[in-house]
Amino acid sequence: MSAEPIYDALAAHLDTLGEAKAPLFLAKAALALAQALGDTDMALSILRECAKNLESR
Amino acid sequence: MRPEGRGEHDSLYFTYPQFDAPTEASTDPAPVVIVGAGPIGMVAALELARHGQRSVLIDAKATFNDGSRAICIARASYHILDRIGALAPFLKKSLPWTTGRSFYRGQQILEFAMPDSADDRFRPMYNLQQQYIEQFLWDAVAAQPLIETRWQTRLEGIETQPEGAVLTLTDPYRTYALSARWVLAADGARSTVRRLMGLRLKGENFEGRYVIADVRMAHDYPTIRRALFDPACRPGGTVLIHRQPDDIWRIDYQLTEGESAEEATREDNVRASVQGVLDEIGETREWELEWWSVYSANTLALDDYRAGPVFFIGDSAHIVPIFGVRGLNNGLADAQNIGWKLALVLSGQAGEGLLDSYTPERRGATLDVFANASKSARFMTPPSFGWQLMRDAALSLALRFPWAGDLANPRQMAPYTYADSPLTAPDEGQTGPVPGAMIPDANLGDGFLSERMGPLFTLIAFGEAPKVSHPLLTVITLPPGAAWNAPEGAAWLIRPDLHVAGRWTSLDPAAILATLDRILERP
Repeated sequence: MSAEPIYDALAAHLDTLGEAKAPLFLAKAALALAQALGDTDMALSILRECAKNLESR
Repeated sequence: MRPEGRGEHDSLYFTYPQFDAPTEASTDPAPVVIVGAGPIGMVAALELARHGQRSVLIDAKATFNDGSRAICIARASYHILDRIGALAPFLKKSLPWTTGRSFYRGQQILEFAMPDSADDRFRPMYNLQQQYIEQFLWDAVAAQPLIETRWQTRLEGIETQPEGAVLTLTDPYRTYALSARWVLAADGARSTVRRLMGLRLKGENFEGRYVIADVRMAHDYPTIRRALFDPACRPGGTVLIHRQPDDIWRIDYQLTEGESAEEATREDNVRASVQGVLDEIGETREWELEWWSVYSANTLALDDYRAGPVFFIGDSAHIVPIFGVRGLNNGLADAQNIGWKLALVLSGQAGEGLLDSYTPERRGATLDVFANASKSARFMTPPSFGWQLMRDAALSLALRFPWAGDLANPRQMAPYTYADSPLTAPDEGQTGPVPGAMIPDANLGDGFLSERMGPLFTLIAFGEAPKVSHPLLTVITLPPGAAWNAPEGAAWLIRPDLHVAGRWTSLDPAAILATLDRILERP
């Protein structure tokens, strides 16, 4: 599968919702996508990876 | 607290008795002095008396505790009440329940049912105001000649040595010293015994503070616990609603960060907050304010529940958040646990080493409650940005996905399994309750298994009647499969508190007697 439609949709949702609602939206999305993934270890490992490289310049 | 113009014990529906101080107070040494005649102290006294042991029960007050306080009594506690012979009035008065509903911003996101089946003699939970709990236990205590109760008797001092304690007691007529071989401190969260002995509870204070208010209102909603998350009446907060007997409703609502407890507990503020909750759930009937209090979620416990001849039971040993409804229930299990052990030691049927199992078993239960209650508290009252965001995400998702609603399930706790207790035998079985667990009840067709249990230890054998005999042992023989899918030959040794001491796939009398001896012969 291509990541592009998801990438585009997230950007569009975030623009529509604005910064204030972004954290809640992303938290919901992460929980729901992990649930759909159906693999706890895989989901936890992806979360760990996502927590890296977040330094601001 | 009560509305203006009404005294501390001036209830809309309950008449508090007034107990006199003793006209005479014997200074003969007592085998056991129990400090605190609340529910925990009374259950301990009744458990001791059930096994033929005397106790002196003292309380500084002249009546019961004010207000409804603890209202949820769990199934395991009904088994305790059954064992001490106090069950009947509880069954008659209390309201059984199995179901809870959670709402987010007015919309239902979860309905859960606690485990219940035809094998269970009791329902998972019963609601009953604490003053009724105390009244019914008191009726049993007053009828029990082995318990001597001294009301209006305050503990002023305690000196302990390994072989006993000397208590300094004061009542309106005198101050005197009373020696006790053993002391049970059942004197609550602000325990005088604990303070006099210089002991401290340790643990965490959570941020969440709740006002708990009782109102009287005719109302036909069934006995279903409701939790309201982020309701319009208290944005960002949580509200809990419970039904109690006598048309009394318990409403717990969370205070927001800026709200001071002092302000929030002013009568006009309580009235306005209660009205807001009732408006939210569509109740338009008249109501009267009965009682209120304020509560904060803590997980605090003593490092050791024993200090020489003194055992701490109930809130004097541990304070738990309300969400798991384990404050009272855990305390009742403490009282039963130390009660049968102390009775066997006092009668010379067990060695004092048996008492060493009290702290690991009951403190273990408390730590288990902490782990679960902390989980609940984090959901009910998120302590930080991360927990708050994820809680809100779960609730928001739950409006559309049932799996997310499950994150709001409070998981009312099952009794703790004494897996690591020094009294628990290695596991030699395959099916049914494991060593250390409280046994599930079983419907035997002509009654329940719990009704057949002996006063002390019980051997349950499936198949042929075993040739085992011991003065403290009752033997029950059941057909294979009559309970717990137990196969032919399987056997369980059950303790007086209905926890499994050991289980075997094939019954070996020597192994069973050896397990019993290991429990009793602890020097």
